[in-house]
Amino acid sequence: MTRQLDIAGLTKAFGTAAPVLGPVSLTLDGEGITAIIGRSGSGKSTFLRCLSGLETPTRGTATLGGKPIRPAEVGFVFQEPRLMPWLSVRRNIAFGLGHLPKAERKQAVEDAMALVGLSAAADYLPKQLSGGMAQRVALARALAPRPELLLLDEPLSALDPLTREQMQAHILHVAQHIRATILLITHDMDEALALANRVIVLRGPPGRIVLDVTIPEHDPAYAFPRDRTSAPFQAMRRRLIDALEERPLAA
Amino acid sequence: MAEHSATAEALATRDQAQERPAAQGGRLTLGWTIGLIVPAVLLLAWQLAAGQQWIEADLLPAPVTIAQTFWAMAQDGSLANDILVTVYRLALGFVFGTVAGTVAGMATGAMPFARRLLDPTLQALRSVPSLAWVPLFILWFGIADTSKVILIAVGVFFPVYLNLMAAIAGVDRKLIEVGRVHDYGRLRLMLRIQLPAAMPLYLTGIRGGLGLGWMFIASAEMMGANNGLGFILTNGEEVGRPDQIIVAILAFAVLGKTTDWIVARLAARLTGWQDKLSAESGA
Repeated sequence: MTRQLDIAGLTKAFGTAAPVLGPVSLTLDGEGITAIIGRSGSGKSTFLRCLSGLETPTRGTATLGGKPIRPAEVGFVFQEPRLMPWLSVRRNIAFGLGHLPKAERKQAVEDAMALVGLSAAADYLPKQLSGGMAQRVALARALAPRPELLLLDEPLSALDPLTREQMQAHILHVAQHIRATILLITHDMDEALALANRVIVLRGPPGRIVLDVTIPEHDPAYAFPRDRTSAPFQAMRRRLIDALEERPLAA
Repeated sequence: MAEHSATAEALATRDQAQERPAAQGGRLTLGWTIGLIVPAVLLLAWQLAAGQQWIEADLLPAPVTIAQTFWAMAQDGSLANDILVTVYRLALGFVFGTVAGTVAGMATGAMPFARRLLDPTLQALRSVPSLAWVPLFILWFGIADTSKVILIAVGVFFPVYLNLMAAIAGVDRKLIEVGRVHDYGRLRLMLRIQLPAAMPLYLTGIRGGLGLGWMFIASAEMMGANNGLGFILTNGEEVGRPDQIIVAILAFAVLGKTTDWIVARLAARLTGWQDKLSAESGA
């Protein structure tokens, strides 16, 4: 059972400039994927960076089980794979496992590689990988420490459409096999609706939540893999588009 | 685990049609012997000119005479002794210079405050010609090995320092962020990300430092020594033996090239992970 993620009044401003995010308040109390969508500049990535500790929020708090989030509890996948080019796939995945005994570390790496289907490429160097494989290594690296909170910052945005679809299947597969709260940032509504059981729309700057929709998981129309051409899917999509459209935010 | 790994492997297999690993390019090997053509032609022309007495033997002896001198110096052991002395001095100076350059490069590369504090002074010292240090070092440390080793260390220090500082300061912020999300402290960031990322430029600095070390040792031994290859140079001038001078010059060239080759090979092994055209072509 994952612990509840509570975000209260999270706000971020860089220097003395106007805030780019917030205040954002949110509670996530389950496993599965929550997608956050928004246009460029809506503060999506800043939101995730605040949760990961890469940025310090100007105001507000984020807690996991009532306690401040610790880096060891977070896995982060960036837009780009950001692999260490001098390390093999196996050693890249082990990158965040230095604190574990050797046997445990090895097992964690094997598990993460198996989870994303990379076992056969364990000894490859990053220069030998395709874009999709490299991003799967990045996903495995984030999964290996078994995080409670997995943050995916537009991890598929640099991939071609076909590879992107394949990676979506990998992410869905991972979400069904790990115990973690997953936050997926994307600007692709179809991707959000295909993977998530909750979709949050941010609009900004400063980025604020303008829509928070829970997908009715038990509705057969939303069973995985989701039919993107179905009427409920399309209706939900239109709802997201309406929320994303530029208009003054309600006070 | 078995269940999900089977599914994951199935997904991976399905992906393989689109996601093949980038091909490992075949190595294009050019014969290293091509580099011998120019020296061989020059040597032949030189021997020919000497044989025809177009050049004065007192100023530039024939290659055969030089070979005879080389053989004589090799036979009596004097050349080997002088080479060993020179290599010993160089090795000590190289180690000290590299260690000092590495420490200074790491500090100034990773800490902007240290860079602002130290770099202007070090850059000013870098501009001082090598020969300018010699009288001062002889005054301070005497004519024995210490002054020579320190002079070599000074020569090695600057390329190592400059390259490492630039490389560490220029490490991709995105890689640093990967370390930060894994809760890496400053030391682990340095050891696990910054130093490995800086390795190609660092090794270039070491290679440059070694080259300068050879130049500095020649200066040091020519200014004050009673052994070593630099001493053979000055002694050859004093006793009017250009053949002896040329043997020493050739020894410097061969030793310099050999040590450079060793470092270059080591660098190629340590930075084979780089995705660059020359790695594919073998250039």
